[in-house]
Amino acid sequence: MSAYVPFLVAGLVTGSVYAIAATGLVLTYRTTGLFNFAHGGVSMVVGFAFHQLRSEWSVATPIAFVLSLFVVGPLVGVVIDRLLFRNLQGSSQAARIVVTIGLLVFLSGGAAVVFGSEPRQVEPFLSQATIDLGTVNLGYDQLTIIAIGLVVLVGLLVFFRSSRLGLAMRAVVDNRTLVRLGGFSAGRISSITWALGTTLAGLAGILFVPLVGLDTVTLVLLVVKAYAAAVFGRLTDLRIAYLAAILLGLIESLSLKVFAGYPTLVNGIRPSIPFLCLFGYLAFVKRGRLRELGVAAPWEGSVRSRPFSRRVQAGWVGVGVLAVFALSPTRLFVFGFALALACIFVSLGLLIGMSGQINLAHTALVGTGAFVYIHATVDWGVPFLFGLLIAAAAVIPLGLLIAVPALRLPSLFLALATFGFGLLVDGLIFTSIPFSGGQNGLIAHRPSLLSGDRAYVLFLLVMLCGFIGIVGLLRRSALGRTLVALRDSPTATETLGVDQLWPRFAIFAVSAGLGGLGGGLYAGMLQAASKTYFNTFTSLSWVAVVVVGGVQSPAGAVLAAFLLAFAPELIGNRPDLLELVAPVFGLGAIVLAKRPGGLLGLLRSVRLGDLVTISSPRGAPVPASGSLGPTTNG
Amino acid sequence: MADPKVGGAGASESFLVARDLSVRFGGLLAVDAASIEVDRGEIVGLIGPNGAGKTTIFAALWGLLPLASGSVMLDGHDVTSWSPARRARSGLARTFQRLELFGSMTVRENLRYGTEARALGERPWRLLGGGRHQDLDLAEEILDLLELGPVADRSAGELPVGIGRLIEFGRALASRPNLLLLDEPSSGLDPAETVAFVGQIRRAVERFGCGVLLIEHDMSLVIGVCERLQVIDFGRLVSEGPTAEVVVDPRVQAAYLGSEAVGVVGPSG
Ligand SMILES: Nc1ncnc2c1ncn2[C@@H]1O[C@H](COP(=O)(O)OP(=O)(O)OP(=O)(O)O)[C@@H](O)[C@H]1O
Ligand SMILES: [Mg+2]
Repeated sequence: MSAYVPFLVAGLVTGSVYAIAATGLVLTYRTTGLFNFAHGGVSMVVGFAFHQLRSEWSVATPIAFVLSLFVVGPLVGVVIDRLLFRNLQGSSQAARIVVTIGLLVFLSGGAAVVFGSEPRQVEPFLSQATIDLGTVNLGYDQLTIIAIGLVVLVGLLVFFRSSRLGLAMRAVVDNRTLVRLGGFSAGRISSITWALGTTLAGLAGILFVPLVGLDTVTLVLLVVKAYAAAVFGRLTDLRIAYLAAILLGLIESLSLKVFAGYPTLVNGIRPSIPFLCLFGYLAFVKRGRLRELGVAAPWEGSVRSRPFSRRVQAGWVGVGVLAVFALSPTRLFVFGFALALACIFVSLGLLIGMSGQINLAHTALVGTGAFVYIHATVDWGVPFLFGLLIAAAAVIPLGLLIAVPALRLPSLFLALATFGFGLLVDGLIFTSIPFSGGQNGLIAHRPSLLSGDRAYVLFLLVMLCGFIGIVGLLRRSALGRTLVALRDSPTATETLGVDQLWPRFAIFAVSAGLGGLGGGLYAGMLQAASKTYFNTFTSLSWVAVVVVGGVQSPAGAVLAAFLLAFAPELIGNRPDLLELVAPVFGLGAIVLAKRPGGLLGLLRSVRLGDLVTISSPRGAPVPASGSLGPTTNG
Repeated sequence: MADPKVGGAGASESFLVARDLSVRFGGLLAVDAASIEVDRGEIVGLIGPNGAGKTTIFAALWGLLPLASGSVMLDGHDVTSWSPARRARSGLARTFQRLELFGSMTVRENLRYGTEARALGERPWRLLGGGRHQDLDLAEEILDLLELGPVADRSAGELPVGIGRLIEFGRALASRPNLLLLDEPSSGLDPAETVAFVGQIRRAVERFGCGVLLIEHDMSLVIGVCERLQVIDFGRLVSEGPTAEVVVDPRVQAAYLGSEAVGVVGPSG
């Protein structure tokens, strides 16, 4: 029995850190109604700040602790409150999700710029002394962490139950005037809540770093496991979230011991357990059990934009063909990359734009398509076009699997389910060396007829036109209308006689099929595929980038792909600026989240006359595209 | 199957027969063994003070909420376990107290979608087709009937609530229902619009031959259109019968006059 005790304790320790992160998440969600996908990003930033202060700038540990936890942490929270949350009052769930995803992309990218992306080991800062209990040793640091977790939980429960501020915080989502009567302004409460929530995220970050080292991705990923715990508490119940977090920690840790004889099981499945729980719970939870807090307006503005005239469409195709023959080989490659990416983004933008639902697992679908395409064409010797079809067909079932939670969950929980699904595919499927080639990836072939870049890029251009044509057909179909109806009011749609099942399945299947096809095209373009292209965090930036381009029409997705592919060129191929691309797109998504038209919509709404006023000496403020000015003008 | 005491072999069943509906929200019994019957072509009022449970009864009839007890029959079929969409396909339609418009569609598109929804629900593969199942003429007819022509091409989401209610009413009519459930259709309408609305309900019922179950606080409207009333208080049916009899029923006076609705019970206008 005593052989299990160290694992039990280690499980309690990680579980407690998960719990601290999860309570922060629950606290902000239930008070403000905004689920913060960037919670893990905040943990990472505060954790980095602490260790930067302590190790690099040699600040004394207690001072570094106080500065990072009680200055940086709350500051991030207040910034989120003032700049993001308050602009989201009464806005749609889609916009809310995009904003915090944009923030996560911004924070992860920004941290890489500021702190560098090389993982670092750090000195432990809690006492390493141990208590000898005969057969087992308990570390003081372990006991400290477990105690902190308990103190946080009990403290919050008491705070909510008995302090006036706590009671006011419980009421704020539902009734803003009630709170004002209680003597607190709703604004002050949301500031305090965010400060408290990000401080808890920061605490989790600081405690995690000595356990896992300083690495932006790992740290964010670990805190994302706390999302699972928070979801078990329906994002509103602190006690259940705490218990679920502890349980996840225990399961992870004990499975290390119990399945010690099966290294593949331990290495493969163990890290994915929380994501398995997250997706499994959300796939099977009873309809109506999970409700979104706050106002759930449909996505701002019309989903549909003015269609481009035939002549404009033909003009752009002409420009594309011209580019294929005129560009230098290096530029041609980037152009082809952009086209392949455009196919992928069209398949993603189609889902987001038409159904208003956000799939954070699109890389999982596209990556599967890419790997299946490679296996089909290289290993099984299937002809090229059939290989592409097989890739599309293989991905459709995955899309349908994601559609299952989409049937019964409001869009926030769907986004969480897809997040869990993506991480699950990352951890379970893409790690399989026979399937994905592991770290090295796999070599992809092109058919002999299209082996040269010019021919293949021309083929991609044709395919992209096909993708856009399919989207156009769908938009004009009864399915297109039904998805708009479901997006605006699921209840009204159902009470007119249409079940959610088929339209949802259909759009997820189409989006997945096109995504799989896009994956095959992408692998063909790069003549390789690797799991590093397709991890779930890439998926988050794809969402951010597509929203920046615009989801009202496939043209927005194409614009997004070209912006991303040509971003290095646009900033003059300066490697030192390259890392700025991701945070800029994150920021762009935050700014444009409430405008499904994205940059494309803004560009189209700016007429020549407006341009004159923009550059007028009075300096009328440039519309929101100003934040991405250099990329659009350059 | 038929309960001899309630139905009786000879009595032909009404289109909607709901028996002993109960809905519980945690500790609150919001609907308590309420029974409701409405036949085709009949206009029935469902009245009661604020918070009495009227909207919840609608949700229960639709299967939008879990029932604590009771059953719902539509056209002789027990639909208690059917999805809301399936109930709609057997001839039910409704409007909402809190508007549920397709805000990003135009008014005309809202109505056109109403005309095709049932066909799409019945044969899902039709989703992949174009607009063949839309009944464009019917949509135009309803636009005329409800005098929505001038705003037909405006986005439904940007119009005032009063017009929103008309759009919902029209969209529900567009699905050619046998029974239409209207939840406070006159709130948000000014008195003149309310008078016009009474006429529109009557004409719609005449034209489409559907029954109406109407939740309404405006007693002049209720008295103007309803043949029969069912009165709810605290989730229970406290009185029912022909309109003229029910409005003078002391129990109804008590339920109503005790509440804030005093102003609207008297002869208004
Ligand atoms: N989702 C819900 N959860 C908990 N309680 C609810 C819910 N919906 C309604 N209630 C409660 O059930 C009772 C009946 O509400 P309902 O909306 O059916 O009343 P109503 O008769 O339609 O009132 P009104 O005339 O104001 O529209 C009320 O006390 C209400 O507070
Ligand atoms: Mg009501």
